[in-house]
Amino acid sequence: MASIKADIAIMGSGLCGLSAAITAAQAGAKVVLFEKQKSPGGSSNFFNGIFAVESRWQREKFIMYTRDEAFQAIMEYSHWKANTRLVRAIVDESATSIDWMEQQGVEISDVITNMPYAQHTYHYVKGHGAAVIKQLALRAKESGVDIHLGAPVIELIMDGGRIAGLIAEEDGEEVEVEANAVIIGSGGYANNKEWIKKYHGYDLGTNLIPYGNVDKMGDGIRLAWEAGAAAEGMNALELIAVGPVSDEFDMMNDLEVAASQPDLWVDPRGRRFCDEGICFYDTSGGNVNTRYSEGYTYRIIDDSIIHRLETYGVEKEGSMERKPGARLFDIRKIIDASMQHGSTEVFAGDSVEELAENMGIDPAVLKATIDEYNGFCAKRHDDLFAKKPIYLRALEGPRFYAVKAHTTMLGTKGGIRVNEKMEAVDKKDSPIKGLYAGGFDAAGIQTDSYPINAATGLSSAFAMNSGRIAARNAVEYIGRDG
Amino acid sequence: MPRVEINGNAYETEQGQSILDACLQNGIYVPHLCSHNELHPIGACRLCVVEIAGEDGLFPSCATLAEDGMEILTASEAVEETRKMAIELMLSGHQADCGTCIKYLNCELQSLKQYLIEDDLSVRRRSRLFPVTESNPIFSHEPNKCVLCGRCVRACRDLRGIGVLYYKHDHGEAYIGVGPDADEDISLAEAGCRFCGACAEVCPTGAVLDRDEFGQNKSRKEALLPCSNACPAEIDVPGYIRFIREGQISEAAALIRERVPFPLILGHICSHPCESSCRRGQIDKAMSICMLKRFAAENDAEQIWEGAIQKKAETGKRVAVIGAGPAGLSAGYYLTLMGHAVTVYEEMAEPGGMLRYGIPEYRLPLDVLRRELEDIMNLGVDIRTNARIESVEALLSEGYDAVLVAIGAHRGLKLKIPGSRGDGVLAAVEFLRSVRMGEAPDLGDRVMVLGGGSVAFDCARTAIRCGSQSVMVACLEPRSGMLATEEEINAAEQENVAIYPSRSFKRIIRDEGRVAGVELMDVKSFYYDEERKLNVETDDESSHVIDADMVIFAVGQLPDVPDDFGIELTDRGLVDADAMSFATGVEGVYAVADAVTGTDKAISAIAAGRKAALAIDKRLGGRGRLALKLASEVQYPARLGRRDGFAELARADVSRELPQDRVCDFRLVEHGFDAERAAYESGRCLQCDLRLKMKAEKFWSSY
Repeated sequence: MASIKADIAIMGSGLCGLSAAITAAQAGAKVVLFEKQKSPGGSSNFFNGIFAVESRWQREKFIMYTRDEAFQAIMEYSHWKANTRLVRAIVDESATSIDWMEQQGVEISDVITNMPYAQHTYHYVKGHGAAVIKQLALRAKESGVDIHLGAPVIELIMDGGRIAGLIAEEDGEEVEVEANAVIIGSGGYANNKEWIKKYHGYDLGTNLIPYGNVDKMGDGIRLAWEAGAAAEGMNALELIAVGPVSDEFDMMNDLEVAASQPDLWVDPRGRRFCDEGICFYDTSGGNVNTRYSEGYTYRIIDDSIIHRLETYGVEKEGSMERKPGARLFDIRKIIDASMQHGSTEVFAGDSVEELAENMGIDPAVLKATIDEYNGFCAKRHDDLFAKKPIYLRALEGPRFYAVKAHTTMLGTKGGIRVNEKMEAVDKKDSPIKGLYAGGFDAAGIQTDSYPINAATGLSSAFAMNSGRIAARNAVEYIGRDG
Repeated sequence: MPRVEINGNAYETEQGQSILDACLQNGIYVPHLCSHNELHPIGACRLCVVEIAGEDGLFPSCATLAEDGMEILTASEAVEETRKMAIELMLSGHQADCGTCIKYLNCELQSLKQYLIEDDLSVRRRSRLFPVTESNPIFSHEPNKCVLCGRCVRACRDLRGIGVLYYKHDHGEAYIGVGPDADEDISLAEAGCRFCGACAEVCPTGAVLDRDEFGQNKSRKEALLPCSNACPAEIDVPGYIRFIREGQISEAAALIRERVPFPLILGHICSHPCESSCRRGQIDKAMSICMLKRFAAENDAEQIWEGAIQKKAETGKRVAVIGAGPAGLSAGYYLTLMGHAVTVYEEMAEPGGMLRYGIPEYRLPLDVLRRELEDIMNLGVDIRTNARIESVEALLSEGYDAVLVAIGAHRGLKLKIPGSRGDGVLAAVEFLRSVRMGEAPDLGDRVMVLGGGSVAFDCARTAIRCGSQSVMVACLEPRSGMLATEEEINAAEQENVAIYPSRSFKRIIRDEGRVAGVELMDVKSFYYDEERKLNVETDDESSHVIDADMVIFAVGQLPDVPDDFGIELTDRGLVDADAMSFATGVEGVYAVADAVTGTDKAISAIAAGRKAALAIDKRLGGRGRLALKLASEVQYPARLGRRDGFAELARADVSRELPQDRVCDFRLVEHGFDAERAAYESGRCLQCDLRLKMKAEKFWSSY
């Protein structure tokens, strides 16, 4: 068995793991990092921006949202179920982390928001998360971090109740690592069918689709629990609603963007179920979808809506590239191909009744829904769900279309109970000596939903800040006790 | 040795090495896509271009040899521009659904994009909108993800010598299809595919996907080599099948023996979870793995394993094993190999446990059992029979350094339904044991076995052989969901055992004390709740009585633990031990297999015995590791060659004694394969292990 001696061993190469690795290595620690996949970064490859308050970018743009306000807003959003000291620590650290990122060579292009009536906390990065991960991985190597890819951690080694190292697997061989501190940032359990069923009641892949998560089995969480850490927050998921979803569609294709606009949404039986104006807040769109155990709702569009999107463009942006006003040209092409392939994601009909039949729902119900909705549009008031009148636009045909929008998960939010130093703790908040956790593996920051309009970019910010905080404390710990 | 300069530094290269390989070998990453370690370079993708001093233009480094004195530049403005153009063109038509693609993070294209693209693409994306092909077994084809690098075509044609994949066109877009006809795709099976998976292995993105590999909560090896991984002992199944195919039968037997000490016994009685997961089963029928194992063990003429086996130096440590069943004997065997002195205490007159006293002789003849038990004793394992251990404490006080409790589950359970107490009602294990001890009870003409697992069928078929005229099996499960294997059920039916599936047992009817029949109800549905409690929904109107003279309960077994044994039991009456470490609550005492888990497969007991031996070795100061090397290195050929009709090769039949003959006595029912049949059957194997031996490409982040 090969063996490695290090000061700090890190599990996971996402924002949390890499930030921790660089921070620790630059503070003089010998750091070894293990990543289960062949490519680094995990879900962090997908983020576009990162939350911070009182950053240099915000000062320059007179964005006056303060740390105190952000702390209060995040706590209110969680109804004070979040870990107060942890939230405070992350909020207070956030601006420093933006400077730190830039020092590591990450390029930030702007601070923005991508929804109405929300705080400008989203520090938009150049080249998406993938470019950030690449830069941080290169910087970690320059800083002397020993990175092992395709190397899952399979065991923590404990000695007298404190961390003594870990065992990883590389090229089919076990590698024993001697280290006095371990930082876990392995990205949650979004692909663990059993846990998702057990803790959340969903059938993964059927009524809950994971997005941007690969092979997340909760490895880090399980290892921390086995080492004595307490479980916390195994009820929180970051949800959105997206469709059509199938192997033949690009993500963020024009039809998907068209289906995400604030037009008419109906449940699996054909009844309207919400103010579609919530489309700007992805979390709300995901949460409202969870009422339906089928795992999807429908977005109804017609030729008049397609024409509007072709000529006047979108209202809800389609990823960051297609901002409000961007026109969509490929909607019909994608619908035609879907019809040809017999897709079960997209349906069409020359009348509302024919559409309903093709969807397999009661035509009378869908007809009544659309008649009622068109009535609200005519009188400019949504008696049911109070959608803003500017989004009330009647469906006139001649052809009607339905697109499935699936309940989709961006990540899991619970797992290891931690304190504000990112130490893994037991039920009574006593630290497991030498064990730290951050990112999607650590609980306490988002208790049931993602606080999207109070702190957009919080998941990536938590990953990076928790990684940096964990590393600082781990370096101090090994200096003192190790 | 050619010496070259790369980016201003001098390096030695190997004769005939490409510039790309010279760079990579020296830790200088050069992006590349169409080239692959195992394939001939074609220099098509333009990602690996480099500059060579004194030469005009750019050179594909994969297809250009490193020559003495060359000055190579792997990065320059021209190089970067060309690479960027090349990857952008690939990505413009590549389906952008990384967020839901199961290949993500193991995708070379994604890794290259991360390395080469700094921001969004400068070209417009186009959707190709090909349908996904799911109609073939094992693989899915997603042409919208294909970047036309041709690796799969070359792997299939050049590396494996098969050639079922071709470049084709449809509605103005190129794609890779199956079969030579330019206008039509055929199925992989029709095209002569051997389902080796080389295409999926070399695909740099998600265009050819193994459906088993992803999203099943399994590691790559578990998914792609399911036979070995479904085997509790992790026997190298494709490895020994390869030896058999090549006529190296003793090598095959030795390879099996690297993981289990009882290949011949297992060849007769293993319930072969490997076959249930065999990937050939997705095409037609699974490989006949168990019979091939039996063939290897029965025809091991040279016995090369004996010469290869080596005991470690004696450690001076002593271990007592309680129970000479498959788990205890495996543990004793491996502990002995690791240098410890082992004494096995067995309550019965002969060793073997359930193999000797549970499994009927028509499945496992005595001489077969004794042959392999002798091997264990010859190694120096001291087996003391007629020695029941009443207390673990007493054993420890004899100075043993560790004790392993491997007492199995020999106490049969009876359901507590009305009428179950008294004569005429037996528990399965007691019945089977008495028959194998030559003390068969008088059964009467009509025997009803209650239970649907292997033990139930062993009882039924034994009862027939004991002379009962009418033998019946009734069980909760529907016919399709019975726990016994299909083979067992079919064999029993051929022997005129009547099966009553989906029945609940109400009571045993007695007439003046004697068993007269069983009252049954039809089961609509049943399930076990979280506390493992059985919930049954029956049809109220369905009560019916079946006449019987004898009832045998085959509804589970528990360990027979002496009163003052000194080990904690669980609520269910099992020995309480940790599933991973085998430790019990008593220091130095371990427990394993059926006594801990309840009745399980023989192969599970054997595998667990080995693991427990390793755990005990750690306690005794060893490293808890044992890498037995008994067979020669398996050679992995790259080339398979075409074999028409490969997908249609039917599973080899097993020849059996005729039902009317075999029920007269306890003769062995199934005959082993002869050499011809073994050669044929081994030729059906997909050789799923081959692809795992291919040298994978490393990504930029690993340099």
